[in-house]
Amino acid sequence: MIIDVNAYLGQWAFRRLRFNTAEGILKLMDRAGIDSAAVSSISAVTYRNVQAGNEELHEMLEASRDRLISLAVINPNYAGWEDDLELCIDEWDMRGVKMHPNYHDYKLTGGNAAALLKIAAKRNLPIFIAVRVEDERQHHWLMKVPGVPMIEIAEVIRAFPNVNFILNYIHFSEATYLMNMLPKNENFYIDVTAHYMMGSFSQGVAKTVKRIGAKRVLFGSGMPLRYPEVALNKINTTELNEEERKLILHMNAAKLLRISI
Amino acid sequence: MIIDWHAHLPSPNQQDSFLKWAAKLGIDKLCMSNLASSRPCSIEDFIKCNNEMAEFFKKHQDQVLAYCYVNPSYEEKALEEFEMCIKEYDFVGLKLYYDCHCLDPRVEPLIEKSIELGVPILWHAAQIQRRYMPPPITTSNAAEIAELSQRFPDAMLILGHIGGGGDWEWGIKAVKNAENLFVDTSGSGTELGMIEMAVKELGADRLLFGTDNQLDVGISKIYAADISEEEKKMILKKNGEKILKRRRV
Repeated sequence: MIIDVNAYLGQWAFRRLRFNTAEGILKLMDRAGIDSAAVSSISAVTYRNVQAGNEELHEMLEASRDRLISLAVINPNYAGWEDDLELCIDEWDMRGVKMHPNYHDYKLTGGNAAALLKIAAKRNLPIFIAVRVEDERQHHWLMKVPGVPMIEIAEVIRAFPNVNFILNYIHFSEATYLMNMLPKNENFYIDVTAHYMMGSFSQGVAKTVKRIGAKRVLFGSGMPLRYPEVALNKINTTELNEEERKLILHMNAAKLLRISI
Repeated sequence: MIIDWHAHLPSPNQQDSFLKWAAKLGIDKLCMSNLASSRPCSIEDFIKCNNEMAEFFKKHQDQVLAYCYVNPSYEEKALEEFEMCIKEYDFVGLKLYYDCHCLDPRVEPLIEKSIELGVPILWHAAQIQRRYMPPPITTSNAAEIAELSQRFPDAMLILGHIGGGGDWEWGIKAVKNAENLFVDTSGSGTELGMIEMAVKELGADRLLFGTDNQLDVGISKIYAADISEEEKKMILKKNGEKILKRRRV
């Protein structure tokens, strides 16, 4: 079984996407052999009012909730975010929160983000931090958005030990920074989306598993912005035992997202 | 035969692992260059790089093909080195980096020589409009390499790494009308749609498989792309085999 923890649906402001509807992404998942995916709204990355993106996503997933698990994009600087969070989690069964501090112009270490993380701790909600959505070299010339700083991520990991932080699209060098900065903290997870997190010869995935264990590495592809098969092949070209492979490909995600296997 | 048209000689402690993984991934030949660490490089540096490349190539001819690397600013000395590498070292072509801009007139004798020898020239390229390019200014972009290839219609020029970071949609469009310019698919960029757009706009016959040493990533995106099996074969094998057959020495 394979669960992808980094998938998007909706409109991306900067280029036309394929497979960005529920029907489309299911087709892509079938092609790649992926059973289930945690999806968030990519429209919400650039919408001023992110809740409109969550609403679109909820409507889009009407017939696909068995395979597509939704995450709520929350901007804790925007009015009404607490009510939006409640609606997303309690009525729309969104299983976690996706944060884009760089696109939404707030610091993870700021007061409003702390308020959100306190709720996450209280309600046992996993927090997905998109370190980046797209390779910075591809960014639109009018909108260059640096990745979320590791120093901020490290601070919130330490400040909220009861929150599970899933770091989407994090490079091996960035993951290494966190692993060296927080060798004793076990509440952060690394996904394999990043273009500088590689299998085979470069061994980025293998080195990460060696450092923090397979229980904290997750399969994430960034689809449909990125070829999911590329991320899968990173796992296929990393020397892992069967147990490690299962943990990375689905067991860790199933636990975090409360998916019954 | 699957040929990777854009690879680099890894550091000595990584070479065995690199070759092992390439073989596991089904890559039959790696066209490697060995580049100097600073640019523009000296003649001593590029001669040393080529000698190291030749040594490695000699030991691994079953898996490796080699590019000569020069700094075109050295003009006749660069030309001599290029010709020697092809004829005596049996290298497969020439790699040009950002030691010199592609439209610098000092590049022209190398292009003419490549036509005479029937070998390709792989150009390091930025996929970005000139006005947005960071330094160094000697880096060539897709539009400039397209212009060069149109000046030399008999040359086999290869635009390096369409997936090498940058605006690949712009890069593909910039080279669309340069019909004799090949494009390699290498680079860490694996955005879904890249290969499909390249096939649609350029035709599968102009694409060459490459990895830029991102082995698993490089080959996965070809297999994953929503293109026909025949188009995948062309990119991975057939187009490269045709280039090898055009060699005159």
